Amino acid sequence: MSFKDERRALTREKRSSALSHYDGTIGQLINDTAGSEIRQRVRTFSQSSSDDIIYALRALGGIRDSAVIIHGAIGCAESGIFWGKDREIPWYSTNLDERDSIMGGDDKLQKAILRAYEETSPAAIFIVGTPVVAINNDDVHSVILELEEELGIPLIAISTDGFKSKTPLSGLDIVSHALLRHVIGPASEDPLKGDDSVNVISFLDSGENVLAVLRILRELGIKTRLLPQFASIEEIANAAKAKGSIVLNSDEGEYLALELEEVYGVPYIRTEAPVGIRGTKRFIQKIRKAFGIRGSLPQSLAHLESEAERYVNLKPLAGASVFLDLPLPLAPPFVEFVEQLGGDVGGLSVDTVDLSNRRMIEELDGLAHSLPVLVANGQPFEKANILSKNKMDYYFAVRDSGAFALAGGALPISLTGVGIYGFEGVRNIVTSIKRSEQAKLFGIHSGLTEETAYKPSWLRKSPNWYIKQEVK
Amino acid sequence: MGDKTNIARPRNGCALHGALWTVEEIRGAVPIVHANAGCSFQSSLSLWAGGGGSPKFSGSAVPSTNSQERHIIFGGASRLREQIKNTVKVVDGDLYVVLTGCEAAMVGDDVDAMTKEASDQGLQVIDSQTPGIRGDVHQGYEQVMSDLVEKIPGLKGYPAPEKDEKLINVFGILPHQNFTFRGDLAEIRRILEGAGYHVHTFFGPVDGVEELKRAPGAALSISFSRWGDKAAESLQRQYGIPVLKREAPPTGYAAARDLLETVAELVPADKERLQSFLAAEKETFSYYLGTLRDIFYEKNISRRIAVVGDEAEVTALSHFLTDYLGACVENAIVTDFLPADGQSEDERREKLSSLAENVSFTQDSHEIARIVRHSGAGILVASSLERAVARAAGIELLETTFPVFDSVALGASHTGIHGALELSREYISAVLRADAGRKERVVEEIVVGG
Repeated sequence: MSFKDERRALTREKRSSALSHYDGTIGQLINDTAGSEIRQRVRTFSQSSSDDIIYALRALGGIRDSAVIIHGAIGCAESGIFWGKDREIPWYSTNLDERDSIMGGDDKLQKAILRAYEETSPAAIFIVGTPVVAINNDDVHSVILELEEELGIPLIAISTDGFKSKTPLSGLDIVSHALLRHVIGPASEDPLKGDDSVNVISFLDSGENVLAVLRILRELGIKTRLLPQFASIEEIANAAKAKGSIVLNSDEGEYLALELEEVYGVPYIRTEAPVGIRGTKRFIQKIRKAFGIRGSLPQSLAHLESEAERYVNLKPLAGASVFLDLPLPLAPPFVEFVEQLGGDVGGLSVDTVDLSNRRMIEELDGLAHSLPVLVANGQPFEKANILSKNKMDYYFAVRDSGAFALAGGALPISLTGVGIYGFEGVRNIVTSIKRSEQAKLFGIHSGLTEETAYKPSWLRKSPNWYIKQEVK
Repeated sequence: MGDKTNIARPRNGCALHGALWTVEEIRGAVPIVHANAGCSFQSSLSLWAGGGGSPKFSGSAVPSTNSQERHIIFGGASRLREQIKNTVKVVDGDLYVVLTGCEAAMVGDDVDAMTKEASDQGLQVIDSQTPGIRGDVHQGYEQVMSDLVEKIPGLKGYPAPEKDEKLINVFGILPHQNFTFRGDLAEIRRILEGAGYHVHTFFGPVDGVEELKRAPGAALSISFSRWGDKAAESLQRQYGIPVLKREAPPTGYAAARDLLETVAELVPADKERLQSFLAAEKETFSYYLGTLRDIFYEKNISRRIAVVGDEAEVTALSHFLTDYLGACVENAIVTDFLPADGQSEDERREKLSSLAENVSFTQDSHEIARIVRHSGAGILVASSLERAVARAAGIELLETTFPVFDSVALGASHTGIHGALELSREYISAVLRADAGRKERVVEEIVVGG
């Protein structure tokens, strides 16, 4: 049975045994994830992190011509301030209160849908579930049934709840599932009505990273359809017509690509994240091979490559030990890139490991098996512990500032606003290292090198002290 | 009318967020959120959109139970017990404050029992029930501040503070929701200390948990917005500390003088010191304002404006811009409100009517945009959420209230003497930008043609 036949996407834990609580070494992690199921763990002390709702909101906010209704208490829509900062997103909260949590919020939802429709003329309206609605078991589908025909646009329930999965990526699966069931249409049987474009699937990648990949594909003469980020509903609807799909971050987009392949026969072209010179070259090679592109590399890409080599030759990490905090699909090429820059990876933290991506852990087999590895969304207390025991020079963070690392003696290099993909990414990462070096006195002047939030007794303990085997 | 219906592009977080921002900003206090993982993270994202600055325990550093389905089905009290016990072992703090979200309220977790169990063991733990379904960010501040002053004295080993006849507690200025809260509190402290008082602002580089513990020893509590009343009244009820309720923080010399003179009636001041301080403040204020004389008259700075923000912000800014810089407030749009409290809203509308031609109560961004479009204002004093409407309507935007994007507040203030001068600088700069834009359009029409 296709995933599409399910009413909602399964959580990552159920679908692929996703593990988001782990602390050990790379050798142990390879062993512990080798079977047909990955044993779940829990944290008995934890810190805040994203959840499926936040990831779903981020993904839906990236779609150009839809409206989003957050069906919950007012605070559940708060991240809209962040996601909508650079682009005004039609974003509504049903503003549920205590009475609604008892009596149900159907009326408010109905009003919000009608209002969003009248005010923004969207091509689709997404209704995002929250804990209040999930606990109360509000009947969102009845409201949708009542209004969908009248309005003539898809009204799509996104059945997030904030508590069924420990992996925020489940929110992207729920969105993917909803797009497959309600937006993406079958390809025409007439091959002439298909198109010659390639789906470029991206959910959370920064605009800089998306642009870097699009530039490469355009230079290779490949026509692209970016989705769901930056796309219109119509563009998403046509995804089944493409001649293939590639994914910028497989943790985020592989579910959609696999489903497009299984349901509509759109081939999924597996690539790796184009990080570093070698990673970018492998990405280009796989694309060229998949589309039968022959001949030498276009002049512009060859020029960018030689530029990138100039930056690599500066060896800005020579002799340095580096902690990497990044999504797993970025880890193998990033590790290789750090080594190319002269550094050694001394520790690694990734968001999640599951049965579909553990091959990437296996790709890290070349690293010392005693290398500390953490699987965590956030949880800086464990990272601080690892840094206190393992001297690192740099802390690379892809999701946040990494400022806490200063107290552990590592210089943070945040890549949140930096394009790291492609040959341009090489220049950007090297420049970030140089800038951090230049600004290292800030940590001293601001007292951050002295200030830790954690007790010395915790820093002396083993970093996996609060991770326990889950009892079912 | 309170906003009971849906809200377009909401600007206010929920009660949990307001409480969390409050606890995060108290030095020595550690929040423990009992909710699902994303509840507190949402509030951190909205902070990162602006430049308010991230406190030590924000974002992924906030201890949180990260409730899962099993905690919803079987109850999350034991998970909370585990989290409290372990937070105290991992995170350095003087006071641990449990803040609850919607799930705990809906499934009926016995949070009080878990907190009591910990505090009975001598741990410095209190709780505040702040589910998002019970209110927005303002109610969160109100609830947690009141819980802090009420519950801290009940903790084991609490040393009853000695009475300080010059000590004043300051309430009602909300962390982050009031964009310049750090600078505003510092300026209020400077003014009150200048007149010889001792001050607890509870936030900022000097104050923290210790000051909260000493709050019952104060001679007066001042509440600078309705959201500070509950905490101040609690201290009044328990310890007989009188409360001075102000509609807004003082902006400008006259408001600062009025504040000090009113305070002096309640808490005696050294008269000579007070007069000497006021004289020096007046001289400073007049000196800087006087340097604007040419620009003020040459550019005819008086403008029609619309002001958006919390009631206290709207009141303070409208008063100052009207009285000192000749602004005419066409629309006052208030974004905080009491739910289902019609009588209170009528009173508030009446008060604000003396400041503005039109008064509205809404936090709905589309409704605010509609009002602004029809306001006829040349300058809009509002948040970054009004950027689009300001751009479309050709109105110069001065961003003063949450959220403010791409800007850092640090110690900037819109309160007191220094804050009033900063506000004057920002406002007149906005007027000058608006004029420069108009001139460019004139030249363009002359050169290019209509």
